[in-house]
Amino acid sequence: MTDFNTKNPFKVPENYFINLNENILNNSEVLLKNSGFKVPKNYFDLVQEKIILEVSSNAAKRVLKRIIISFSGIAASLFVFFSISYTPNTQPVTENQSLNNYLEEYYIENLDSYEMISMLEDVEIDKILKLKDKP
Amino acid sequence: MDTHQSLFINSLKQTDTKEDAFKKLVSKYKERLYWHIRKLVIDHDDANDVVQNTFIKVHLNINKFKEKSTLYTWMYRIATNEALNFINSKASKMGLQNQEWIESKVDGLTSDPYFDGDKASLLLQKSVARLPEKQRIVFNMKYFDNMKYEAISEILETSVGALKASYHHAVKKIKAQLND
Repeated sequence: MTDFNTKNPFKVPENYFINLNENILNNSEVLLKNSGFKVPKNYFDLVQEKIILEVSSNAAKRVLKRIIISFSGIAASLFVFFSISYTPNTQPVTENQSLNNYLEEYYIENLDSYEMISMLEDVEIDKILKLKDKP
Repeated sequence: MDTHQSLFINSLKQTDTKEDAFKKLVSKYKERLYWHIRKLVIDHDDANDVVQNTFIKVHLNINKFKEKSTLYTWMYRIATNEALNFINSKASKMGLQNQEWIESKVDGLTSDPYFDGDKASLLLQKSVARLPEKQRIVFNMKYFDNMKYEAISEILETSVGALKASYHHAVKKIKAQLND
């Protein structure tokens, strides 16, 4: 007769019986040593669902936040870019120059040529007339 | 760490397998973590809040888990810290020390619908509540959860010698109070 103990074809994972022993002991002792604490009916099923829902909702919120931040960043970059590109050239205008410009425009608009010449000094008139070619 | 656990942790970190793996994680560990938390915070509603916060933290931080300890050790550590932070927060809002807050919770067990322990259980809980925080945690983990000192040492990041001393002092104090 063959010895069935030595020819057992079945195998178990390494350390299986040690772990099994420990697992059973742990579970039973945890239950025994809860010292009077109880939970509502079906609590552990309900809490699992709640945890999964909470985690999914947090994940969705994080994705939305990232999208908003990305778009805000792009919008801010575009704003800065266009602000720099379209800034008009402004040179500081001195007080005297602005007054002179005003006066020049006033005279050109409101005086005819004879009136303008009459405002010049005689010396200046001669200079202007002498600039013309002599026949 | 064994291959099976490494593969499972990997599936928790991958985007396409994370959700399914996380469901399995919650299913496997929710009760153990809950009872550990419950013994620290006493009240069921508080334990409910803390256990949910624990799993949310696990979900958020799983990619940072470096696998220097087992997954359960890491989660247990998160649960312990969440419970202690919860106690700190509640006690400070009420202007109490942590121990005072815990003792007030234990005093409320007589009318707690989720406590049906006998007189001896109630006396034991009151004695445990009077322990300093570290001794209380060690006592809970060693006596109620029947954990080995090496496992507790990994979770609390305290030496085995210090844990043995804590437990010894805790047992001594509890015995003295129960004898009174």
